[in-house]
Amino acid sequence: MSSVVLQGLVSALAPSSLVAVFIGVFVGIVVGIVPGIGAGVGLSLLLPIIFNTPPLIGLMLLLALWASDGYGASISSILLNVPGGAGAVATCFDGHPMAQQGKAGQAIGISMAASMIGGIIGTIVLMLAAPPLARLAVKIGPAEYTVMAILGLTLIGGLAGKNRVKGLISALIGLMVSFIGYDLTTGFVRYNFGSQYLFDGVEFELVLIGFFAIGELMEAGEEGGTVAEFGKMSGTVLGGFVETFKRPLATIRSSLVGIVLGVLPGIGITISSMAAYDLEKRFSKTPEKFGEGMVEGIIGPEAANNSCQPAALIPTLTLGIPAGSTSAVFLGALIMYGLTPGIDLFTNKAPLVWAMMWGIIVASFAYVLVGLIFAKHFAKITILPIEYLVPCTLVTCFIGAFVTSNSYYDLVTVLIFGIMGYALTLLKYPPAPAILGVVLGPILEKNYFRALLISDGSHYTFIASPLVRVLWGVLLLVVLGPVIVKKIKGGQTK
Amino acid sequence: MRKSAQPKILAKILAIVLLFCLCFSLAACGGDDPANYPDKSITIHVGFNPGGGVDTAVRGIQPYLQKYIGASVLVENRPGNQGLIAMNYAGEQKADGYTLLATTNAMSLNAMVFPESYKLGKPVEEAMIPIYSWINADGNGLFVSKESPLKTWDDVVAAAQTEKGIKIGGSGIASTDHITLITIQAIYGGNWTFVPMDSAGEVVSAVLGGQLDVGSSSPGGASLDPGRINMLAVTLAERAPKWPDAPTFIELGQPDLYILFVVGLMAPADTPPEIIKKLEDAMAQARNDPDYIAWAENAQQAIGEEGWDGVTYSEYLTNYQSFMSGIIPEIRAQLDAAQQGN
Repeated sequence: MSSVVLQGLVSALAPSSLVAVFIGVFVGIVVGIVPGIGAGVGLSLLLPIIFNTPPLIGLMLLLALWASDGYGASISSILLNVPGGAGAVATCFDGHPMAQQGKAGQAIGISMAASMIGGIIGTIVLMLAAPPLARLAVKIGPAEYTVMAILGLTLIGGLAGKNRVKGLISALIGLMVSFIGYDLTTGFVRYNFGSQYLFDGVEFELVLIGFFAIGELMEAGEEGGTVAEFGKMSGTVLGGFVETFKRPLATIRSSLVGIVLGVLPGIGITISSMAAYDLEKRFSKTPEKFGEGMVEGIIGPEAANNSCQPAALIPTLTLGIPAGSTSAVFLGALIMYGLTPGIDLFTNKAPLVWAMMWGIIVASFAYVLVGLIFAKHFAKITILPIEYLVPCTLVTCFIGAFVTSNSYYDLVTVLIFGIMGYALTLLKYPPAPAILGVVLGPILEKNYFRALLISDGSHYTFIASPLVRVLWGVLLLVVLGPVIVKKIKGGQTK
Repeated sequence: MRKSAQPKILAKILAIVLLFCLCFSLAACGGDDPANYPDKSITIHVGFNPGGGVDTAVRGIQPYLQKYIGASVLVENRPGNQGLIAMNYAGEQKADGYTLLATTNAMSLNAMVFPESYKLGKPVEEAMIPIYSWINADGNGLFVSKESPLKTWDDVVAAAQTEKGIKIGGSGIASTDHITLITIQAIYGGNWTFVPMDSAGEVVSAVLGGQLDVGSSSPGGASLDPGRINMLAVTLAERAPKWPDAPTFIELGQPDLYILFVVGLMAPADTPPEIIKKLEDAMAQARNDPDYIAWAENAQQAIGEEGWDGVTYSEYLTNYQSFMSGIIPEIRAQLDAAQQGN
């Protein structure tokens, strides 16, 4: 057994693998930075190119791209307040304020270190506990997902910032958007305004670009100036590393959140990174300072969105069940190479599987290396005049939107959501809860109806299994916990 | 600092933009004479996401088609509306052989079940010409978890007669899975509920987790692990290589449950016959290339005994459509009933 592990490490460190890893890391960072293109699109763009390469090289390339996408996405969040991908929405909250204080380098350093540790912890869990975790993941059925989606809605509180009511309205807008298109249970098409384009609903990435990127950029463009004041740059990338390593508990906690939610098919990086942010805020002694550039506010989402990736591989590799759209593309690559997922993969193709897992760790170090070289220069973007930055970023956003499905309608959609996003920003409605709503809406709706189909319409199914009851307990704890804690503390001070 | 930095950055951006323009302008050249076909690149549109079954099927044969047709072949994904977005798009392009569509028989069915999504104005068989089908031995398999008390197809049929009934999961509405279940219901009667999931992976997950009694999916699917899954019956003509113990429904005495999943290439209706012929020959050569066959076997592609030429392929589609037109009212009725229930 241990010889296979070593053999895997050796093939992961072979020169050809390293070249593949570094190419993957470069592409991954670029794909990450560009809003609208995430690891899923990156992987599918590379699939045809790697069709004729040996499996090890091709898969290393894909995994390295996938691993570094999360880090790349945080760069746009920190520098421009425009999330480079769904997993980096929560990184904006504290990453960008830090950049505004002139500490962009430090923020990127924190994101880099947290991403690396998250990725490594996730991979170790993948190496040690994949089969039992996968068996556990399939126990979670539609009823459990329904309650989990409700639990997910409680994150709105943490994402709303100062004004809870506006946060709630924003989340409702997101939920409304999520109901556009096919109802998967009945095939009935809703809210499509007679347009065939809207049958499949609105692509989540397009909403993200419109609501977040365009709204934010328009506002920044109006204000002008630079993100950070020139001459006030402080904090280094290495300083960011140190800050992260000073907070091992936060990093490990967030990585675990990413793993637990990453293993579950259909949950994904958006929710896990937001949940990790929320958890860090709850654990913090100074929750009121979140949103002003807290180190934990970057560690949380970044560690979680990177530990999510190896976790998503757990059901993909052991059961052939993709955890999300990116792992579905990866599964496609495995099939293309004639590799059948399942326990057999771990025995018959053990050297390759171990090389792949080591590959993620190698990639984690590789993007840190690449990051250390470039991060300093990236940070300088914050002292560029915004009137140049905004048009360039806008164009990049539209290219990102177009690449996903080659459709001009996508550009129109981005424009419409951009106008809405701008209005939301002007009226001080936080866009993040809307994003959460768009993600949670379908999970909640589909699983609610599936659970009812399975239970012949009886709502008892939502409290029937022990797992569901535990989830309701967690929900109560999350909602009532802070109130009770406040009461007790209030009593003590009196 | 600011003044010196700006022109440099602007020049760089301008250079990138010009490079993009150059790339796009190259795509716009090429002639039209069928005798010279092909003298530019051919694009196959795929109505599904990269990495999916149809996409892998097309990308698998693409290098060989390229070799035998003598031009580069591009694969473009246009996902949406269960493939109909790509079909609507390809059907409206110039019929010059440079725009082709990868189709499945389920797409023709969807065009009938969801007429509001289908925009070509005439039935699929009049709007598109079938050229060649190279994946034609895939179909549906009905499976349970190894831990399930149901061990044979007869057990499932018996359980369906009880009040609790059978909950059967498949991917998507009006999909091959859904049709299979509706046919089963019509034949065996009893209490069956179709639970639509997003993908085969989700179906397998819910079957392994015990939330669903039976799952329905392509028997060659990657998520179906013989170590965890019991395949009970398949809708194929012969037993699936991966599941030698699972009988076909024909063996079980139900010839109506012969439901295939067929992937083929089509061109817009007015494409000149000599171009169709060239493509058909090149596809046949590609399908029979030993290297392709080796890849297909390794990647568990259901290529079957042999490829279907245009005639066989369109014959199959005609039969399929007449069979389906009997089922479509039932599908619509079920969907409408579900809608009213909500």
